[in-house]
Amino acid sequence: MLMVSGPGTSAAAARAPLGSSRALLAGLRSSGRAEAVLRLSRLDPLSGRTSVARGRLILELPRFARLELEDGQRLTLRADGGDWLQPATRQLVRAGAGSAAGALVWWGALLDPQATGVEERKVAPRQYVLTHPGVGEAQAQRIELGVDGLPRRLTVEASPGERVEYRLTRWRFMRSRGPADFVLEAPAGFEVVEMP
Amino acid sequence: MTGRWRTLTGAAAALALVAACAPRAMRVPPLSGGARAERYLSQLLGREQRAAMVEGAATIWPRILARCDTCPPRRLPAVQADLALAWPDAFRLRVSSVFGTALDLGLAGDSTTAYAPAQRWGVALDAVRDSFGLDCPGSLAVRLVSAGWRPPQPAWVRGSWEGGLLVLRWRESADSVALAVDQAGLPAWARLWRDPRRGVVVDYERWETVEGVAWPVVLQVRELGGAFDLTCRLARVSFAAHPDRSRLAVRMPADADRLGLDRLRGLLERVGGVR
Repeated sequence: MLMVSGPGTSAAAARAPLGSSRALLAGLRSSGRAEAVLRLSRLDPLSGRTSVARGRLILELPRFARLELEDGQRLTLRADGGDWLQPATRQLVRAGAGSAAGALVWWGALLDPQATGVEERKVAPRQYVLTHPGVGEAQAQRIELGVDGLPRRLTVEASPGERVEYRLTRWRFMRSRGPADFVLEAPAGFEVVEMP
Repeated sequence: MTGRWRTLTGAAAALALVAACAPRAMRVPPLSGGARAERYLSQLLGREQRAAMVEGAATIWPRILARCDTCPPRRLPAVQADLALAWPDAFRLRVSSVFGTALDLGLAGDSTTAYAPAQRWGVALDAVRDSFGLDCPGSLAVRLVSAGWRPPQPAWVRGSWEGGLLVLRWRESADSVALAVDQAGLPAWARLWRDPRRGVVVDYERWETVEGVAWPVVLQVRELGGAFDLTCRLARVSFAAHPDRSRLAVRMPADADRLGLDRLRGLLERVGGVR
């Protein structure tokens, strides 16, 4: 069951859409597909450096996500798992729902928050903190919305001291392409490996 | 000896097999003062001095080895990781995913710490107390990656030739060590074992010169009698001017789900039959 805010939240309020994903879900329901330009930065506590990757994020309902990064990495997530194409290792890794659970939780918070049991707390205008059941506040996701109500920045404490930030701009909505767009095929010369 | 030479390197695993069919050795005159020994020791000293703190990017291809002669090995997902080590016994490997760290593995002296952020699984083992894994896994990892094999003087005297390699053998407490030195005075392979079916073998397949020091950049690690092997390619190797060992400590959140030995063994069996 979805919990919207702190103690004392009514059952009716708990069933309401989350403020952090309301505009995104409305756009997806009316059009079918959302795309955004992505800038992914990661502060690595081991090296002290921040790495930056750019690419594109694609979302479709009910729970499809696709990441395309400039270095050729492709990642798709579905309710039944996902695929990860890694040019650096020349592998296409296929993961079942269990193996992709961590990533699925993340996307589920945007696309299907009710199912993930995520709790939302508004901390400032257009800014929310999302926590997952059983996960401490330190690992909470922080979402900042643009003036259009769409996610503009999402930050996650991926591991202690490791901050990952997704900046999302230039949202566009269009017709759905369906589940097939979220299944990757291995290019020639790549091996397909199942995640144990 | 149960599980003495079995260890984990997380979802990306590290371990292996190998056949210890030692080629017939040919005795040669003592080489304690030979040019090859001098070259070897000089380069080893260089690595030891610079290994006060080493960092690099690793790409690791693990495999589950076939249980029959005609079965092909099964590939596991390759991983990319940040690697750091501090001589003589601290080692850290952070396996990356698109969403951040997938697995953070730290070895220091006798202890093994691992944390998988997405699953919030944590492991903290003491090799002696928990009787799982290796004696001093941190030292072993540092030796494997830095090729930090230091033969005692008598081993040079008893050296033998196998092909173009000078092979040295010696004992370290309960362990046996064999090391092959190539014509450039660099380790070609090393083997460390406590009994014939429990040990580890590393082949140094490529070396590069980093800041004037020869450093192994492609190595294959196999476990004697084991089920895994892995090939590791290192890039962007660098030596830190001001070593900071605290950066090699793996931090685990207080609310992490700490796995006991039974659950850990179950996970490793799921990955590939490691008990």
